[in-house]
Amino acid sequence: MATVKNWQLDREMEYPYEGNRPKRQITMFFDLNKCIACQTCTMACKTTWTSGKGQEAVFWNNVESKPYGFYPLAWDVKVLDLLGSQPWSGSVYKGKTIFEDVSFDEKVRGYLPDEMDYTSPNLGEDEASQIQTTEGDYIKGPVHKSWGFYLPRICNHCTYPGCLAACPRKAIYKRQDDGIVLIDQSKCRGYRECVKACPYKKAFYNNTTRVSEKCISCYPKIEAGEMSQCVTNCIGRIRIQAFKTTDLTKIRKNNVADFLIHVRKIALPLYPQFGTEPNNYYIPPIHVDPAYLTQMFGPGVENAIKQYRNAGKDKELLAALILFGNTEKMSDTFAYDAKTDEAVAYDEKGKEIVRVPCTEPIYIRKVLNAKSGAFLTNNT
Amino acid sequence: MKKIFVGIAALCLAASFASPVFADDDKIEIRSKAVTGAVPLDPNSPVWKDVKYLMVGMVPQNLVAPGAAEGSVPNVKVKSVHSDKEIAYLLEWYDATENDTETMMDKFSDAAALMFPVKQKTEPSFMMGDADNPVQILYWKAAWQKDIDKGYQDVRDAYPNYNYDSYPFVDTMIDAKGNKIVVKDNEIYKPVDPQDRAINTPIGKYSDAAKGYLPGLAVKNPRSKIDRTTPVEELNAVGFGTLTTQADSKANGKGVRSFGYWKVVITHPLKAEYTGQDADLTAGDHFITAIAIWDGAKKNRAGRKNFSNGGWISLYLEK
Repeated sequence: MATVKNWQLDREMEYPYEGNRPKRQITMFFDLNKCIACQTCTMACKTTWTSGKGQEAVFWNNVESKPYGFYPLAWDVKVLDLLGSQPWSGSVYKGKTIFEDVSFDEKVRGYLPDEMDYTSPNLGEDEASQIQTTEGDYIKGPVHKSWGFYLPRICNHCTYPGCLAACPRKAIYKRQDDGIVLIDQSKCRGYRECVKACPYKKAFYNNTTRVSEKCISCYPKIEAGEMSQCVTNCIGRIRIQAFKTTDLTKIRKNNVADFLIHVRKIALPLYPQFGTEPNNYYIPPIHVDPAYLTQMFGPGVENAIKQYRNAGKDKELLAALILFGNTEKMSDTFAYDAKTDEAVAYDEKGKEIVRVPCTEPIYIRKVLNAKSGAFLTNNT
Repeated sequence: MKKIFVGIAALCLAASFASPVFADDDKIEIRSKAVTGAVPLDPNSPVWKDVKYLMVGMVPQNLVAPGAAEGSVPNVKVKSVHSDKEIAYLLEWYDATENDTETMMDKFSDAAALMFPVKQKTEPSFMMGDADNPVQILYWKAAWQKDIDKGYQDVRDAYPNYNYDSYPFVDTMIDAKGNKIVVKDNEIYKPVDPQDRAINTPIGKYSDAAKGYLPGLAVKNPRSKIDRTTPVEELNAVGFGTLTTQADSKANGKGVRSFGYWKVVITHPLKAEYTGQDADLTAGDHFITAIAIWDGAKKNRAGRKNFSNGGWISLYLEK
């Protein structure tokens, strides 16, 4: 076991391999306040990558409804249960990760899902946290008494992947250029140690080729400077991708990823306590019980909600959020153009990629077409 | 009567706990008997009747993680015969549950393997060899035996009532034999019989375009081999995580179930097919081998296995 730094836990932790951060890390952001669980991302991924025989129950991307929806069944509550109650002390995680305190016959603490766990892609769909008992409860705020939200998930391309740590064949690797984690399809022998070890259950076994597979972060698109299928197909524009700076002493305020994660700290990792330093970041839903959100996204929840509520006034943050879903090209830097009230994204050469108005322009349509007299507005 | 029964039970217990026990000799070694003609591939061949066996005690592998916390195969009975060209091993062990599929997400196959040092008169690490001393492994798996006996198993075999609308480049109108159903122009379209859905098309009938959607097969991963001709895989290793399938192998074998026992024959040419990859065996000489047994019901795979207690076992090829 080596000792590595996990900034999400604000402490050092044990990991089977030496720390070796990639030059830059691909990160994905999800604004959970905007997701409507339309599953367009799921289908975009499925039709692009996992439509073959043996991949029937493979969802590299899925959207589950929380608190009672899961895929595979009960994945997060099972891992939380395995770890047991673990404490945070401020920003420092004092509990055990999946790499610490494991039994003698394991490398990583985890569980292998039962085949039945994959039979329903979102059992418990749309079940709210509690039954509505009093009329009007649902509009009382800011935190709703009865709540639910949608959680889109892909592989986290973790800095310290559980799958990579557990693979006895070293068939899993993390790329230095972009931090994407891949399973070598020619080297894998289908032991399913990765399926067992990944706390997010994002490594899947292909029962026809008999090897394991996982999200490849659409690397052909990433290499071409474009965002993944699940991002560019999102009709709710809840997602964006960007390269994060891995050297924490060189954080760039004008990079979308660094800005959202490290400057405004509005985007939070999913279950950071597992210890894998996941690289998908979520903007928590503001109407949900903060206690639940804290268990899910760590101690930064309160600040993230505060930042989100302030986004109307915080023009720089607004600009970063406005860029979500408005470009297929990966941006390197971004800015808020105060003169035109626009969010602007630039590529690595500083060339402008996209310009998006922060306030949507309003057009007032005439009631009748002057020529034909036909109604141009809804007249019902 | 009761006394006799108790006596037999005591004998059985003694046989299963005292290990390794050599049945009719005091030497702890596998004695490979010389036979004329071809070595038997059939575990039930009468040739095996007169061959002495060695009862090898097995222990769970938990020296290295991931391991097996508990052992489930206490011992394995080993016999061997050889001709002037080939050697055959017969492994017999008790396994109450038959696990012969890897076509389900959470199922693992029963399996057995024999390991040999590649270099003569060396004793590599019994844990998959080491950098200086490679090992050769002959690996039989129940799931591959099923592939041989019943054709390459896929999702349609694991879940006979499973349906899936379509797969890319796979015809949707296919009969149970994999032949395309042609609907004539003047025929009224009738719903496809559940038996005649795309899921029933055997992968062997897939076009190259359709095979492209099976990643393991597309990159020629040995695990995805759909035209397997032997249930035995021949491999080399030089330590943990280095297991590599030999590109070309004459290893063969056959496994059958018999009253809760697996009886598995593994055969290989006596002489090395490829120098530097295979052990080179000669009659009248001593060698070493190690055994591993995987119990699918206990989710055994890779390092989660039972291995011969003490590692290497002596193997003598009679003249």
